[in-house]
Amino acid sequence: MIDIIETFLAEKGIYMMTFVLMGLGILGMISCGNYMKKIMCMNIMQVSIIFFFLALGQKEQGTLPVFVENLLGADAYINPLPHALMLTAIVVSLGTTGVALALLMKIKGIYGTIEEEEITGEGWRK
Amino acid sequence: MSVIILEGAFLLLLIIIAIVIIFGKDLLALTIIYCAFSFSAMMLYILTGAADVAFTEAVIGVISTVYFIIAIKSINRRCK
Amino acid sequence: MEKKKIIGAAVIILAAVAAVIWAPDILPAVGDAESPVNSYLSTYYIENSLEDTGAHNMVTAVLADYRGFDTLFETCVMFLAGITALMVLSSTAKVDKSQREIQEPYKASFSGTVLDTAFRVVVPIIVIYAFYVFAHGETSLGGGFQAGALLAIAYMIDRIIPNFNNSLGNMTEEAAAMTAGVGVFIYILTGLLPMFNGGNFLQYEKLPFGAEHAAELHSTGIIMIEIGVVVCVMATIINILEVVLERTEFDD
Repeated sequence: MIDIIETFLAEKGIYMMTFVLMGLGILGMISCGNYMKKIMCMNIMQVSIIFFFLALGQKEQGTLPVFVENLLGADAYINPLPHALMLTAIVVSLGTTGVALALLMKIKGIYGTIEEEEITGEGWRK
Repeated sequence: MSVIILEGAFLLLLIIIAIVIIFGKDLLALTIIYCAFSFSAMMLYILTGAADVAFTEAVIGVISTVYFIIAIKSINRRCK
Repeated sequence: MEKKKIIGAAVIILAAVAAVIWAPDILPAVGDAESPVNSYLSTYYIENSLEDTGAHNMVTAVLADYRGFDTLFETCVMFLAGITALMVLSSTAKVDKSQREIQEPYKASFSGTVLDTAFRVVVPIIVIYAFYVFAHGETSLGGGFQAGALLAIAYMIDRIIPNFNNSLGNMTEEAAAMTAGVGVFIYILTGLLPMFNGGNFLQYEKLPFGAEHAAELHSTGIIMIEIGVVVCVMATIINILEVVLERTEFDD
């Protein structure tokens, strides 16, 4: 039983859940009326994309990508390239969060609210 | 118990937290839940073997939670 | 939010999941050591990074040495993020500091002995740990980003706990933006130094310091650019914190 679950997860399940997480992030960015929740959902989407890259670089028998004495060969270590790329992506996500919060406070100062419907007014959709 | 089943469990947790964030109403509570989200994400990164990325995520999750809480002070806590 | 939006977005999610189910051969199985991602370039990185760069941690070797340009422009992006936050909010008036006094009924909850002692113990440990992480970025886990963020957390605790009264020093937002620029400048200077010695931009073997092995020069170069990254990341986080904090009214 556990073997079947493992094989399913390794071949499809992990990717399916990652895509669902990304879809939930997009859903939040589209459907939430509050700008702060939009920023949080943007971060959720970023986490899913980062995990997608890390899952691609995983190896079943590998250890952490720090050199160990007398342990040679490419198969012994997890792929370090996605880690290096995603490390920068996480730090940049903090920068985007900061700029987004600054814009949020500017919107609050000008309009007095951060609800999308109150800013755009009633009936803009019709 | 293999690593990949644990990964699936943590991903399920992340999906549940994401649904809570989308449908929640209290922004301060949602910010704390967002902190839990980034912590679960950190556990997930450790399971994939990316210890450097997990370290960064732990630190950055704390900092972005503090940013959110400071910003909440000047805006309305309840949302529609 | 209306039902139309939710239904429309749920269709996107279902389409994404269905795409993964119906196209099983596009993505390799998780944990497959033979997949294309794990085959060509990363094999070279794993096998040769210790010889080439002298860094035990392969992530640091890839980040700071093989892909130095990536990190350079990522540092620039952080600098730009700090400046952008400053520009967006610069026309909004700051909250008057004299009104920032904590009012009497709340004063006891912010100045307890437990809180004070706890942060007096925690802040030095965080700073020491940050320097440890920075210095051991080559040989074990850690590096410039984490060290910069940890230093910023120490400043942040100092700034937010009201009883502390900024004992680590008070950085204005303009000073923080300038410090971030200094960090980017250190990084670019490290890249320019080999050019005086006849090398290319960021070519660490041509750094003008006398050393016997090329790996030693690589270590020096990695440490130098990590200093730039630490300064830039720390100053940017402090910059955004100050920009947001100076314009927030604390009414309680």
